[in-house]
Amino acid sequence: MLLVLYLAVLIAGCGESGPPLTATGVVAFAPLPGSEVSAAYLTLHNHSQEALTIQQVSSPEFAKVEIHESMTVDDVIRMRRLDSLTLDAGTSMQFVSGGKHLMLIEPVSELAPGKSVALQFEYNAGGVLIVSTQLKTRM
Amino acid sequence: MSQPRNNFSFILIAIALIGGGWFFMRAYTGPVARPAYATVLPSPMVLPDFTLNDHNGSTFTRESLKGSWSLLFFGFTHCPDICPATMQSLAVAREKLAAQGRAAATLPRIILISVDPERDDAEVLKSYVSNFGQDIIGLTGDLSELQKLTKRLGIYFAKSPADDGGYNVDHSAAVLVINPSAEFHALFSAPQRVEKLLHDWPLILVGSPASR
Repeated sequence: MLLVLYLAVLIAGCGESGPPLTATGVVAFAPLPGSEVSAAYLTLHNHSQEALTIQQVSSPEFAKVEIHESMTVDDVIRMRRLDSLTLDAGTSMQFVSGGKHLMLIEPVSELAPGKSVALQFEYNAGGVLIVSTQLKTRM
Repeated sequence: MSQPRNNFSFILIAIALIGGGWFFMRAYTGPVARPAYATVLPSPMVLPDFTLNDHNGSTFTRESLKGSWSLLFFGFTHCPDICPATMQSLAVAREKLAAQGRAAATLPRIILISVDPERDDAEVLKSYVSNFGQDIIGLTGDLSELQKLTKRLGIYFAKSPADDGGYNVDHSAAVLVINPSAEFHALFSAPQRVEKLLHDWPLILVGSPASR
Protein backbone atom coordinates (compact mmCIF):
# COMPACT_ATOMS: atom_id res chain seq x y z
CA MET A 1 0.00 0.00 0.00
CA LEU A 2 1.26 3.34 -0.99
CA LEU A 3 2.36 5.47 1.89
CA VAL A 4 2.87 9.11 1.24
CA LEU A 5 4.14 11.31 4.01
CA TYR A 6 4.52 14.99 3.79
CA LEU A 7 7.71 15.45 5.76
CA ALA A 8 8.17 19.15 5.60
CA VAL A 9 6.77 22.12 3.85
CA LEU A 10 8.77 25.29 4.06
CA ILE A 11 7.23 28.01 2.07
CA ALA A 12 7.85 31.47 0.88
CA GLY A 13 4.79 33.60 1.47
CA CYS A 14 2.77 30.77 2.98
CA GLY A 15 -0.63 31.78 4.25
CA GLU A 16 -2.35 30.25 7.20
CA SER A 17 -4.68 28.25 5.01
CA GLY A 18 -2.02 25.67 4.10
CA PRO A 19 0.96 25.05 1.89
CA PRO A 20 0.86 26.49 -1.63
CA LEU A 21 2.23 23.34 -3.22
CA THR A 22 1.16 19.80 -2.39
CA ALA A 23 1.45 16.43 -4.08
CA THR A 24 -0.90 13.47 -4.29
CA GLY A 25 -0.73 10.00 -5.84
CA VAL A 26 3.02 9.69 -5.59
CA VAL A 27 4.30 6.50 -7.24
CA ALA A 28 7.99 5.75 -7.69
CA PHE A 29 9.38 2.59 -9.23
CA ALA A 30 12.52 0.86 -8.08
CA PRO A 31 15.21 0.82 -10.77
CA LEU A 32 15.13 -2.48 -12.59
CA PRO A 33 18.23 -4.62 -12.22
CA GLY A 34 20.26 -3.81 -15.29
CA SER A 35 19.06 -0.22 -15.34
CA GLU A 36 20.39 2.88 -13.63
CA VAL A 37 17.19 4.84 -14.09
CA SER A 38 13.61 4.76 -12.99
CA ALA A 39 10.57 7.02 -12.97
CA ALA A 40 8.19 8.63 -10.50
CA TYR A 41 4.67 9.91 -11.11
CA LEU A 42 2.43 12.19 -9.06
CA THR A 43 0.07 15.10 -9.24
CA LEU A 44 1.19 18.54 -8.06
CA HIS A 45 -1.37 21.06 -6.82
CA ASN A 46 -0.78 24.80 -6.67
CA HIS A 47 -3.17 26.13 -4.02
CA SER A 48 -1.79 29.65 -4.12
CA GLN A 49 -2.89 32.76 -5.98
CA GLU A 50 0.39 32.98 -7.89
CA ALA A 51 2.27 30.88 -10.39
CA LEU A 52 4.77 28.46 -8.87
CA THR A 53 7.87 27.50 -10.81
CA ILE A 54 9.66 24.32 -9.87
CA GLN A 55 13.34 24.91 -10.46
CA GLN A 56 14.83 21.72 -9.11
CA VAL A 57 13.92 18.25 -7.89
CA SER A 58 16.33 16.11 -5.91
CA SER A 59 16.41 12.98 -3.79
CA PRO A 60 18.93 11.72 -1.24
CA GLU A 61 18.49 8.26 -2.75
CA PHE A 62 19.47 9.24 -6.29
CA ALA A 63 22.44 11.11 -7.73
CA LYS A 64 20.10 13.13 -9.91
CA VAL A 65 16.40 13.72 -10.45
CA GLU A 66 15.24 15.40 -13.64
CA ILE A 67 11.86 16.53 -14.90
CA HIS A 68 11.26 14.88 -18.24
CA GLU A 69 8.50 14.83 -20.75
CA SER A 70 7.76 11.94 -23.08
CA MET A 71 5.86 12.76 -26.23
CA THR A 72 4.53 10.24 -28.69
CA VAL A 73 4.06 11.71 -32.15
CA ASP A 74 3.31 9.48 -35.12
CA ASP A 75 4.05 6.46 -32.95
CA VAL A 76 7.57 7.72 -32.15
CA ILE A 77 8.51 8.41 -28.53
CA ARG A 78 10.71 11.39 -27.79
CA MET A 79 11.83 12.22 -24.27
CA ARG A 80 13.22 15.62 -23.30
CA ARG A 81 14.46 17.16 -20.07
CA LEU A 82 12.60 20.24 -18.83
CA ASP A 83 14.68 22.90 -17.07
CA SER A 84 11.76 24.08 -14.98
CA LEU A 85 8.04 23.72 -14.73
CA THR A 86 5.43 26.35 -13.93
CA LEU A 87 2.05 25.68 -12.39
CA ASP A 88 -0.39 28.53 -12.85
CA ALA A 89 -2.29 29.77 -9.81
CA GLY A 90 -4.88 27.31 -8.58
CA THR A 91 -3.97 24.57 -11.06
CA SER A 92 -2.81 20.97 -10.84
CA MET A 93 -0.35 19.14 -13.03
CA GLN A 94 -0.21 15.38 -13.55
CA PHE A 95 3.01 13.47 -14.02
CA VAL A 96 2.05 10.28 -15.85
CA SER A 97 3.61 7.55 -17.93
CA GLY A 98 3.88 8.82 -21.48
CA GLY A 99 3.84 12.46 -20.35
CA LYS A 100 5.67 14.53 -17.77
CA HIS A 101 7.52 12.38 -15.26
CA LEU A 102 10.43 12.46 -12.87
CA MET A 103 13.47 10.57 -14.07
CA LEU A 104 15.33 9.08 -11.12
CA ILE A 105 18.96 8.66 -12.12
CA GLU A 106 21.75 6.58 -10.56
CA PRO A 107 20.64 5.24 -7.19
CA VAL A 108 23.30 5.94 -4.59
CA SER A 109 22.77 2.50 -3.07
CA GLU A 110 20.85 -0.63 -3.96
CA LEU A 111 17.19 0.29 -3.96
CA ALA A 112 14.79 -2.61 -3.69
CA PRO A 113 11.00 -2.33 -3.90
CA GLY A 114 9.56 -1.31 -0.55
CA LYS A 115 12.39 1.03 0.33
CA SER A 116 11.32 4.54 1.22
CA VAL A 117 12.63 7.39 -0.90
CA ALA A 118 12.17 11.14 -0.61
CA LEU A 119 11.63 13.66 -3.38
CA GLN A 120 12.35 17.33 -2.77
CA PHE A 121 10.81 20.01 -4.97
CA GLU A 122 12.30 23.50 -4.84
CA TYR A 123 10.07 26.25 -6.19
CA ASN A 124 9.96 30.03 -6.40
CA ALA A 125 12.12 31.80 -3.83
CA GLY A 126 12.82 29.28 -1.10
CA GLY A 127 9.71 27.15 -1.36
CA VAL A 128 10.30 23.49 -0.67
CA LEU A 129 8.01 20.48 -0.80
CA ILE A 130 9.29 17.12 0.36
CA VAL A 131 7.31 13.94 -0.17
CA SER A 132 8.28 10.37 0.50
CA THR A 133 6.97 7.11 -0.85
CA GLN A 134 7.90 3.46 -0.93
CA LEU A 135 9.39 2.18 -4.16
CA LYS A 136 7.14 -0.10 -6.14
CA THR A 137 8.05 -2.93 -8.44
CA ARG A 138 7.07 -2.99 -12.10
CA MET A 139 5.90 -6.59 -11.95
CA MET B 1 -64.07 -4.69 -46.91
CA SER B 2 -61.99 -7.85 -46.46
CA GLN B 3 -59.43 -7.06 -49.22
CA PRO B 4 -57.49 -4.35 -47.28
CA ARG B 5 -57.43 -6.56 -44.18
CA ASN B 6 -55.95 -9.45 -46.21
CA ASN B 7 -53.30 -7.18 -47.66
CA PHE B 8 -52.40 -5.90 -44.21
CA SER B 9 -52.09 -9.46 -42.87
CA PHE B 10 -49.88 -10.40 -45.80
CA ILE B 11 -47.56 -7.46 -45.12
CA LEU B 12 -47.34 -8.36 -41.43
CA ILE B 13 -46.48 -11.98 -42.24
CA ALA B 14 -43.85 -10.88 -44.77
CA ILE B 15 -42.22 -8.53 -42.24
CA ALA B 16 -42.21 -11.29 -39.62
CA LEU B 17 -40.61 -13.75 -42.03
CA ILE B 18 -37.92 -11.32 -43.19
CA GLY B 19 -37.18 -10.21 -39.63
CA GLY B 20 -37.10 -13.78 -38.38
CA GLY B 21 -34.74 -14.78 -41.16
CA TRP B 22 -32.42 -11.89 -40.42
CA PHE B 23 -32.43 -12.72 -36.70
CA PHE B 24 -31.74 -16.40 -37.47
CA MET B 25 -28.78 -15.52 -39.67
CA ARG B 26 -27.33 -13.13 -37.11
CA ALA B 27 -27.76 -15.67 -34.32
CA TYR B 28 -26.01 -18.46 -36.19
CA THR B 29 -23.34 -16.64 -38.09
CA GLY B 30 -22.78 -13.57 -35.86
CA PRO B 31 -20.95 -10.43 -36.92
CA VAL B 32 -17.35 -10.90 -38.06
CA ALA B 33 -15.13 -9.97 -35.11
CA ARG B 34 -12.07 -7.96 -36.01
CA PRO B 35 -9.21 -6.61 -33.90
CA ALA B 36 -10.28 -3.32 -32.36
CA TYR B 37 -6.81 -1.91 -31.76
CA ALA B 38 -4.24 -3.78 -33.83
CA THR B 39 -3.67 -3.17 -37.51
CA VAL B 40 -3.46 -6.49 -39.31
CA LEU B 41 -1.49 -6.36 -42.55
CA PRO B 42 -3.55 -7.37 -45.60
CA SER B 43 -0.80 -9.83 -46.43
CA PRO B 44 2.00 -10.63 -43.98
CA MET B 45 5.42 -9.25 -44.86
CA VAL B 46 8.48 -11.48 -44.92
CA LEU B 47 11.19 -10.20 -42.60
CA PRO B 48 14.63 -9.47 -44.01
CA ASP B 49 17.64 -11.54 -43.01
CA PHE B 50 19.40 -10.19 -39.94
CA THR B 51 21.83 -11.40 -37.31
CA LEU B 52 21.57 -10.18 -33.74
CA ASN B 53 22.60 -11.63 -30.39
CA ASP B 54 20.22 -12.60 -27.63
CA HIS B 55 20.73 -11.82 -23.95
CA ASN B 56 22.63 -15.09 -23.51
CA GLY B 57 25.05 -14.19 -26.27
CA SER B 58 23.56 -16.66 -28.76
CA THR B 59 22.99 -15.74 -32.37
CA PHE B 60 19.42 -14.76 -33.19
CA THR B 61 18.26 -14.57 -36.81
CA ARG B 62 15.06 -14.51 -38.80
CA GLU B 63 15.00 -18.30 -38.53
CA SER B 64 14.89 -17.96 -34.74
CA LEU B 65 11.50 -16.29 -35.04
CA LYS B 66 9.95 -19.25 -36.81
CA GLY B 67 7.61 -21.59 -34.99
CA SER B 68 6.17 -19.11 -32.49
CA TRP B 69 4.15 -15.95 -32.41
CA SER B 70 6.26 -13.04 -31.19
CA LEU B 71 5.72 -9.50 -29.99
CA LEU B 72 8.62 -7.23 -30.91
CA PHE B 73 9.25 -3.99 -29.10
CA PHE B 74 12.15 -1.69 -29.92
CA GLY B 75 13.37 0.11 -26.79
CA PHE B 76 16.37 0.49 -24.48
CA THR B 77 17.20 -0.12 -20.86
CA HIS B 78 18.06 3.51 -20.02
CA CYS B 79 14.49 4.50 -20.88
CA PRO B 80 12.74 5.11 -17.53
CA ASP B 81 9.17 5.65 -18.62
CA ILE B 82 7.62 4.15 -21.75
CA CYS B 83 9.91 1.14 -22.21
CA PRO B 84 9.43 -0.51 -18.82
CA ALA B 85 5.72 0.36 -18.92
CA THR B 86 5.39 -1.28 -22.33
CA MET B 87 7.36 -4.36 -21.30
CA GLN B 88 5.20 -4.61 -18.20
CA SER B 89 2.00 -4.43 -20.27
CA LEU B 90 3.20 -7.12 -22.66
CA ALA B 91 4.32 -9.42 -19.86
CA VAL B 92 1.10 -9.02 -17.89
CA ALA B 93 -1.00 -9.59 -21.02
CA ARG B 94 0.92 -12.76 -21.80
CA GLU B 95 0.41 -13.99 -18.23
CA LYS B 96 -3.31 -13.36 -18.49
CA LEU B 97 -3.57 -15.10 -21.86
CA ALA B 98 -1.80 -18.11 -20.33
CA ALA B 99 -4.15 -18.02 -17.34
CA GLN B 100 -7.08 -18.24 -19.76
CA GLY B 101 -5.84 -21.72 -20.62
CA ARG B 102 -4.78 -20.90 -24.17
CA ALA B 103 -2.56 -23.38 -25.95
CA ALA B 104 1.12 -22.66 -25.50
CA ALA B 105 1.56 -22.42 -29.27
CA THR B 106 -0.79 -19.45 -29.35
CA LEU B 107 1.02 -17.46 -26.67
CA PRO B 108 3.42 -14.81 -27.93
CA ARG B 109 7.09 -14.63 -27.08
CA ILE B 110 8.03 -11.15 -25.91
CA ILE B 111 11.17 -9.76 -27.50
CA LEU B 112 12.87 -6.47 -26.63
CA ILE B 113 15.22 -5.33 -29.38
CA SER B 114 17.54 -2.69 -28.00
CA VAL B 115 17.98 0.42 -30.12
CA ASP B 116 20.86 1.42 -27.87
CA PRO B 117 23.55 -1.17 -28.62
CA GLU B 118 26.24 1.15 -27.18
CA ARG B 119 24.94 0.72 -23.65
CA ASP B 120 22.85 -2.44 -23.87
CA ASP B 121 25.16 -5.41 -24.12
CA ALA B 122 24.02 -8.99 -23.50
CA GLU B 123 24.74 -8.79 -19.80
CA VAL B 124 22.72 -5.61 -19.28
CA LEU B 125 19.85 -6.98 -21.35
CA LYS B 126 19.82 -10.28 -19.50
CA SER B 127 19.47 -8.54 -16.18
CA TYR B 128 16.83 -6.18 -17.56
CA VAL B 129 14.51 -8.62 -19.34
CA SER B 130 14.57 -11.05 -16.41
CA ASN B 131 12.48 -8.49 -14.51
CA PHE B 132 9.51 -9.15 -16.75
CA GLY B 133 9.47 -12.95 -16.73
CA GLN B 134 11.55 -15.97 -17.55
CA ASP B 135 10.67 -16.24 -21.22
CA ILE B 136 11.41 -12.68 -22.28
CA ILE B 137 14.12 -12.33 -24.91
CA GLY B 138 16.47 -9.36 -25.21
CA LEU B 139 18.29 -8.74 -28.48
CA THR B 140 21.17 -6.50 -29.35
CA GLY B 141 23.79 -6.30 -32.06
CA ASP B 142 25.62 -4.15 -34.56
CA LEU B 143 23.90 -0.99 -35.67
CA SER B 144 24.03 -2.12 -39.29
CA GLU B 145 22.27 -5.41 -38.48
CA LEU B 146 19.71 -3.57 -36.42
CA GLN B 147 19.01 -1.21 -39.28
CA LYS B 148 18.45 -4.08 -41.71
CA LEU B 149 15.46 -4.96 -39.61
CA THR B 150 14.19 -1.54 -38.59
CA LYS B 151 14.32 0.00 -42.06
CA ARG B 152 12.26 -2.80 -43.54
CA LEU B 153 9.75 -2.67 -40.70
CA GLY B 154 9.40 1.10 -40.68
CA ILE B 155 10.82 1.35 -37.18
CA TYR B 156 12.48 4.67 -36.37
CA PHE B 157 15.25 5.24 -33.86
CA ALA B 158 17.84 7.96 -33.44
CA LYS B 159 20.15 9.19 -30.70
CA SER B 160 19.17 12.50 -29.21
CA PRO B 161 21.92 14.37 -27.34
CA ALA B 162 21.08 15.44 -23.78
CA ASP B 163 22.33 18.62 -22.09
CA ASP B 164 24.59 16.70 -19.71
CA GLY B 165 26.60 15.09 -22.49
CA GLY B 166 24.63 11.89 -22.41
CA TYR B 167 21.88 10.93 -24.80
CA ASN B 168 18.39 9.57 -25.10
CA VAL B 169 17.10 7.48 -27.93
CA ASP B 170 13.96 8.53 -29.77
CA HIS B 171 12.24 5.41 -31.04
CA SER B 172 9.06 3.93 -32.41
CA ALA B 173 6.54 2.99 -29.77
CA ALA B 174 4.71 0.35 -31.76
CA VAL B 175 4.65 -3.34 -30.88
CA LEU B 176 4.94 -5.63 -33.89
CA VAL B 177 3.25 -9.01 -34.13
CA ILE B 178 5.39 -11.60 -35.91
CA ASN B 179 3.69 -14.83 -36.97
CA PRO B 180 5.23 -18.32 -36.74
CA SER B 181 6.42 -18.03 -40.35
CA ALA B 182 8.64 -15.09 -39.28
CA GLU B 183 6.43 -12.60 -41.09
CA PHE B 184 5.34 -9.16 -39.94
CA HIS B 185 1.66 -9.86 -39.31
CA ALA B 186 0.15 -6.98 -37.33
CA LEU B 187 0.99 -3.89 -35.32
CA PHE B 188 -0.19 -2.33 -32.06
CA SER B 189 0.27 1.43 -31.96
CA ALA B 190 1.09 3.24 -28.71
CA PRO B 191 0.06 3.46 -25.99
CA GLN B 192 0.33 -0.23 -25.18
CA ARG B 193 -2.33 -1.50 -22.80
CA VAL B 194 -2.97 -4.96 -21.41
CA GLU B 195 -6.66 -4.77 -22.31
CA LYS B 196 -5.93 -4.01 -25.96
CA LEU B 197 -3.76 -7.06 -26.32
CA LEU B 198 -6.14 -9.35 -24.44
CA HIS B 199 -9.03 -8.27 -26.65
CA ASP B 200 -7.24 -8.48 -29.98
CA TRP B 201 -4.91 -11.44 -29.57
CA PRO B 202 -7.48 -14.21 -30.24
CA LEU B 203 -8.81 -12.23 -33.20
CA ILE B 204 -5.34 -11.81 -34.70
CA LEU B 205 -4.86 -15.56 -34.50
CA VAL B 206 -8.15 -16.36 -36.25
CA GLY B 207 -7.49 -18.41 -39.34
CA SER B 208 -3.96 -19.23 -38.34
CA PRO B 209 -3.11 -22.94 -37.91
CA ALA B 210 -1.39 -22.05 -34.63
CA SER B 211 -4.67 -20.84 -33.16
CA ARG B 212 -6.46 -24.14 -33.53
